[in-house]
Parts: sequence; C-alpha cells; structure tokens
Amino acid sequence: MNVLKSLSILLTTAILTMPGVLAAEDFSPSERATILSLGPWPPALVQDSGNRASGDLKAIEFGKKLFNDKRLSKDDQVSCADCHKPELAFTDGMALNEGYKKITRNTPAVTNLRWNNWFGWGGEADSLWAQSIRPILSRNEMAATPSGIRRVVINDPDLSCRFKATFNLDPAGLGKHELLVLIAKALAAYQETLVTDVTAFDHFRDALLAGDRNAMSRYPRAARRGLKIFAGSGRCTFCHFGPRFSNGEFSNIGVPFFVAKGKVDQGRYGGIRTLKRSPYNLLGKFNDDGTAKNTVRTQHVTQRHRNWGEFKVPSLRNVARTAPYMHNGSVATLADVVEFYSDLNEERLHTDGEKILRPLNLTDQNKTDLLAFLETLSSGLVTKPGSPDPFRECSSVSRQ
Amino acid sequence: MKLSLIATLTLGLSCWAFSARSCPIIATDHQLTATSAKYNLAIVAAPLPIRVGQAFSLALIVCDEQNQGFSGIIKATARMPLHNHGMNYQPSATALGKGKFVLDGFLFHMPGQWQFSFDLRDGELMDRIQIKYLLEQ
Repeated sequence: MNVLKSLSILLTTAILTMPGVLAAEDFSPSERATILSLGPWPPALVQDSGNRASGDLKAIEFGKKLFNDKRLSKDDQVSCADCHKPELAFTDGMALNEGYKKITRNTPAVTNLRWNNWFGWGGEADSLWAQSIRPILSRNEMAATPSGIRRVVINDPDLSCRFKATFNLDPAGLGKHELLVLIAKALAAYQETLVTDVTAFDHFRDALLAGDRNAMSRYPRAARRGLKIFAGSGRCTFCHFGPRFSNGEFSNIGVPFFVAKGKVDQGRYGGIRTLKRSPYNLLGKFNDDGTAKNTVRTQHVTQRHRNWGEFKVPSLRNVARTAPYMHNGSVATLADVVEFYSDLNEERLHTDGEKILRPLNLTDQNKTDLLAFLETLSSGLVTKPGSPDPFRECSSVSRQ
Repeated sequence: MKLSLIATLTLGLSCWAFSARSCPIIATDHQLTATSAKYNLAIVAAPLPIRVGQAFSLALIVCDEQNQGFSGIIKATARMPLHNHGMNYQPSATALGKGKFVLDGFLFHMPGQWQFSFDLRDGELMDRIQIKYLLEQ
C-alpha cells in the first residue's frame, strides 16, 4: 500500500512538472489577466429595476407556466418552449426555424440573459421583458396580438387567478398593452432564473486565481492550449469578453446578411431603428424604474452606417450545446466555427469593419485545442431547491 | 424624459470632483487633463474605475488662457484608433456654467487603448482636444 502511495505521489509530481501541465507558468501575465477576467461565474443576480416582477417568486412561477403555454400564439400552435427547448439548452437545434412563416435568424438560447443589456441578434429590445413581447407579436413567430393575449388571460380562470396573485391587479381592468407588458415581465422573471452552472473552465480559472496547481492539473492539456490561443494570439476576448464571454455589443464578422433575393438582414442598423420606434423600450411608460437610470444606453445609442451587418456578440457559455451557429445558423458545428475564424474572409468584412479581425491561420493542432477549450464552457443549469406552490389560492379555481 | 434628465444631472453632480471650483483647473485625484493652444481641459469619470461594457459619465471643465470658463458647445466621443472604430453610443453634454459640463452616455465595449475626443466650438472657432486612456481587462 505504501509503495502504491509513493508511486502515486511520484506520478503526480512528474505530471505536474511536465512541460505544458503547470498552467500558471504556461500563460503570460497578460494572458493570465485575461483568463481571470473571464470569471468568476456566476455574477450576482441583481434585480431588473425596469421590471417590477424581477426576482419575485410568484412571477417566476407564473412566467414558467406562460413560457410553456401555446395559447400565447395565434391558434394555440406554439409556446416559447417549443423553440427554446430545455433539452437543447433552450435552443431549437435548427439553423432557421419556422413559426408561422420562415424565420431568418437562428434561435438563440435564453440562458444567462439577466446580465444582457441588448436582446435579439440586432438588439431590437433593451430589456428582457420587451424582448419577450417581440416573438409573441411577430407575424413570423407566434403571431399573437395584444387583444388576443388579453382574451386568453381574462377567459381562463386559472391564468386570471395567477395573474391577480402575481401583480395584485385584476387583468380584466387592464388595457391590452398594459396586460401584455405584465405577461412579458413575468416571462422575463422566469427567464432570468435560467442560469448555467459552473464549468470545467470556471474551476480552472478559479484554481489559477488561487494558485492551486493540483486543481489546475485536472483541466485537460488540450483545453489549456486552446485557452492560450483564445486569450492570447487569437484575440477572441476583445468581443467574447468577461464572465459571459460577450461584451454585449455588436460586430460584423463577415457572415453574409442576404436573406433572399434583394433582401438583407440589416442587423444592428435595423435593430436600432426598431428599438427607437418600439412603444415598449425603456424610454416609454412601461419602464418600472422611476429614476430612469436604466435608460442611458437607449438614450445614447445612435444608428450609424457601420451598424449594417453587425450582429450581437453571442455568449460562449454552453456554446458546445447550442449548434448551429451565427445569426443565420449558417455554420453547422463548433469545429466549423473554428474553421471560419481560421480562414476568415476579409473581403466580406464591412469596409468600416473591426480591424482587429483577421484570419487566425490555425494549424490542425491549434484547431483541435481551441475546440477542446470551447467544449469546457458547457454545463447544465443551476438548480434551486423546490418551493411550495405559490398559487395555492388558485388550485380551487383550476379545478372548476 | 424629464425624470431621466434629473437623474442624469444628479449622477453627474454627485461625482463632480471639482464642483465647487471654477477656472483655473486644480489637480484632483483620478483627473485626466489635456491642453490645446487656447484651452485647458480636465475630466473625471464616474463611476470609477471605468469597466468594459459599463456606461459612465464624465465631469468636465474647460478653461481658456485667461482662466475663463468655456461657454461654447462641446461635442464628445471616443475611439479605439488601432481598431478603427468608435463607441456605439453618442454622449450628450449638459452645460452647468463657468466652463463645467456633464457628459453622459460613454461606454467602452472593448479593453485596450481608447482616445477621448472633445470638439469645442465657440462661434466660428473650433478646437479639438484628445486624451488617451488605456482600459485594462
């Protein structure tokens, strides 16, 4: 037994001193600082000041029920969960879905959204609750109307009871837009709780911070080499910045934005126009933040020519589980994404495009390593202990 | 909108490092300064430190060579010269008198070398003052 123990110690020591295994020495000071800036995970979950329902237990449960309710669509055909499937990391696994008509953008995951400031590939919404309204009313997606949603809630005793219990308001006494906004705020309250768990990368990052070599050694060598590319020569963190692996803004990376003959997806350019016109933006009357401190971005965002072809920088958390990729789902696998950046077509970049973008010209080993790193960014959801049914007063109504 | 303006001014005033002072500019902590042939300019950001992806405001004071506060129009922006791009936002300026301004709506969406740029227009005259700022990770 003692011999085995000694061998084990010797083996561990040998592994830890092998070139490329001791992570702390593998990274330059700049790379180390960059890696540390990618955590800790998760950040604090701060209540959304623009949403009175944010963080409210009843609103979360009500929102979860609504998320799975097909009656929020025209003719009761699709629910939010039909495209944001929990078993597919809250995506649909398709390049381009079809609700009522063909959709021209890939369905993004609805996890880790509380920390976003812009929503949708073009940033058409400035709050999660406003974004929750968009697909409900979109003629291509759920094709519902504010008056249709109002009818559903008022005519269903159970929904009506839950609405009253959540907002302390009688839905029948509300106008169609007021009611729709509150439905969206409950949906947002639920989606805020969809937070991905810590990953193998997070464990490595925390070990690097703590100087825990033993814990660091558990992170695969290939992933560590890939991380070095990601945080160093690849310069990926200019856009995929911080614990969410996204700076929350928009970029043109040369993905074609033609959606049909003669038709283009304007990306951020059109997104800003939609945002400014929306009655549901944070500058409007539905913002619950009386101080208006949450309106700075919306007040100051300006439509510019260079916004053409820019799309949201997506978070890379759970990236291995959210194929296909890009705003139009045109890249099938994560390996293809790595190829895309390795052979980046500079001719396709907008003339005002980011000069930081250039082909990475990766070797086969580099590509394997980068892929290995990206695969360590996935996890399930943070699970919370169950709580008593907050709508017990509605159970008798439901049985009627 | 009115509420928003009040909130904005309150934020700016609360962080005003040299609120009680007017020209000439007196050095304070966290203050960045620059000069042109005609003007001296100082800025202090709030909140500090400036972080990637977080909006911030600038308290700004501009004095001319006679130590009189600038009373013209200011237009401000910031760029990453090496990346050939600016911010995604256009800051707004509120004049407080005696050369003092609050500038809201700055947001640096990447780490690296940024450059503030202030266009000072006084009638037909225009002056541009730039200040470099390195935003760490």
